[in-house]
Amino acid sequence: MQKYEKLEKIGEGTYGTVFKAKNRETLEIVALKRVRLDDDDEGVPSSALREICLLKELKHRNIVKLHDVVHTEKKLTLVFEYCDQDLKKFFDSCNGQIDTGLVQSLMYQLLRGLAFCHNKNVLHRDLKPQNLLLNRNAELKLADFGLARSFGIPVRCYSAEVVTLWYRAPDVLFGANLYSTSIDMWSAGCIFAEIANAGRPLFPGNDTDDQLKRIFKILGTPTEETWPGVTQLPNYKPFPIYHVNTAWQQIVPRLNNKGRDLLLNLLICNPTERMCADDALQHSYFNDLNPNMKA
Amino acid sequence: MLFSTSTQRKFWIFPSIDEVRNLRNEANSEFINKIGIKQLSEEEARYLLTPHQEYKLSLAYEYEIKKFCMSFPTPLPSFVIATSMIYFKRFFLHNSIMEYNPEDIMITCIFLACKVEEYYVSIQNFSSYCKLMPKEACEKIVRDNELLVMLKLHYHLTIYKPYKAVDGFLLDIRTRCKDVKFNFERVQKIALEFIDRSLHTDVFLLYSPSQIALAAVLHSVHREGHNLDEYVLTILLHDVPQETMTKVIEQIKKLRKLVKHQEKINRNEIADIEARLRAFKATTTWRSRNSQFDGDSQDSETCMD
Repeated sequence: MQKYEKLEKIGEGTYGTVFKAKNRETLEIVALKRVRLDDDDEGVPSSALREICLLKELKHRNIVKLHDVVHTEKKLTLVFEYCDQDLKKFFDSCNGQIDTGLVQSLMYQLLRGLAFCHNKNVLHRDLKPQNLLLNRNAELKLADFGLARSFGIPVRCYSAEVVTLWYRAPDVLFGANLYSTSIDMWSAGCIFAEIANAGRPLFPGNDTDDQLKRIFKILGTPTEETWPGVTQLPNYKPFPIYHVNTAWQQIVPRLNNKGRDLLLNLLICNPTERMCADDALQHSYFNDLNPNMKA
Repeated sequence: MLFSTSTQRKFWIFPSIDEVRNLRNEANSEFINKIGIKQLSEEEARYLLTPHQEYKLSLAYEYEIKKFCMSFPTPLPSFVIATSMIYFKRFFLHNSIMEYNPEDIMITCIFLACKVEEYYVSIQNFSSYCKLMPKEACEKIVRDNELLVMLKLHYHLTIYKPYKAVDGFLLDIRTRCKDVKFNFERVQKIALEFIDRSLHTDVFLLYSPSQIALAAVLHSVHREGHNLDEYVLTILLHDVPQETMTKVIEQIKKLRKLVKHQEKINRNEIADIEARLRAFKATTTWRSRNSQFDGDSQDSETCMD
């Protein structure tokens, strides 16, 4: 580990501490994710293994780069490209203001990273602002693939912190055990609205019931007509049929018509009708995106 | 994920069998250089294994992997066995069996494969299923070697296997060649047996999973008395240039030949090699040297890309 000079602790990840560090030779700034290996546990944690497996295979500008893996006596360190902040911290610094061009560019990059994963049959499964990193040039990178490809979404992660429900799709909340890329697209929709509102979460539920209620109050309660099979999902329970009269201009005041249309295509309760990442990238909302962005 | 952009294709599939053999020769001579042949006593030098003996021994251990995996109360599924065997192959492609104990590496490869393939077996259960040694010893081996194995595999842990492609080909043949009638389950079984056998060869270091799957399907359908030439030439490869077509057919032929003429394992020969290896390791010079490169500044070792 002499190769890297530790600068400061950045945070605690799902399976270890993250440090900002400098490569002594190249002077490049990197993020070190230190994986703890205890003598009585299961060896290298599965979440770290998943991250290594996937990031060794997935190289894309909108996916955080795994530069290196370093192995010392009883420690494993993952060396990532450094990003100044995550989207959540970025929101904190926005003071409720965000440039519409930036909203467009962040969303485009999120979708481009997702399209890349989905085309390679990789689901992220845990998309949230904390897992989207931003560097100085406002380049967005998907990070934290510790839950990717796993068979289920655990309710708790290792630090006993409850995994947030805010970005979870209604089909997953109803206990669907067969899900696909559409679960990430729901999360992308929630994040889109949050970006457009400079950090105000769209559905900040407290528990599963509250989460579903918040969703249905805005989008309408699904029925067998709008979503065939919904009543057969393992944890399905009936919700009141809300009288929906959503004023989207009030929910996402800074999104134009096209942006609202994209958002509504992502926030479709029935997963089979939710827009996929490739189609979302082609949406007319991005027609006037800075061409440098698309290159 | 896509095979075409994978680390498997980029780093672990070699253009020829000679290249694979060269790598084994290099691993052997690098180890001998590392311990310093000049400083070995005549007795010690006599016990050194040749690259071919190393290869034979590792082949024998590949059968042990299978045995180990099948001895679990619920035998491990074939995709986990395949991943374990490929890890083991890759490990000893670049490392000498004289340096690393093959049994330790074998056990660790299997444990790691279970985790990576999301086939969860706790370290406790895993060790209690191991019949080769006491439970505690097995746990220690896995904990001590897991990081080493990952390092030596250059952290390339995703393995593409031909199983799904076999089903894909069979479904494709059934829908697109209506006149080829076969019993799906039986043909599938023979194809899987072919893949099983191919795991005991260098095929996985030379060919893509889809090539292995195609060879397996051609082999099994042929065994059932059908000819698939027309399927391959006019359906599967109908839009590829003549040159590519010839190349593909040539490669599939070579692949089938490799599997057909796989190296046989002779118990006596293996016992001899193991005895040599034990004798070599028992020599004191090697021991004292070995302790020097235990924990050999793996610190600064990093991956290939």
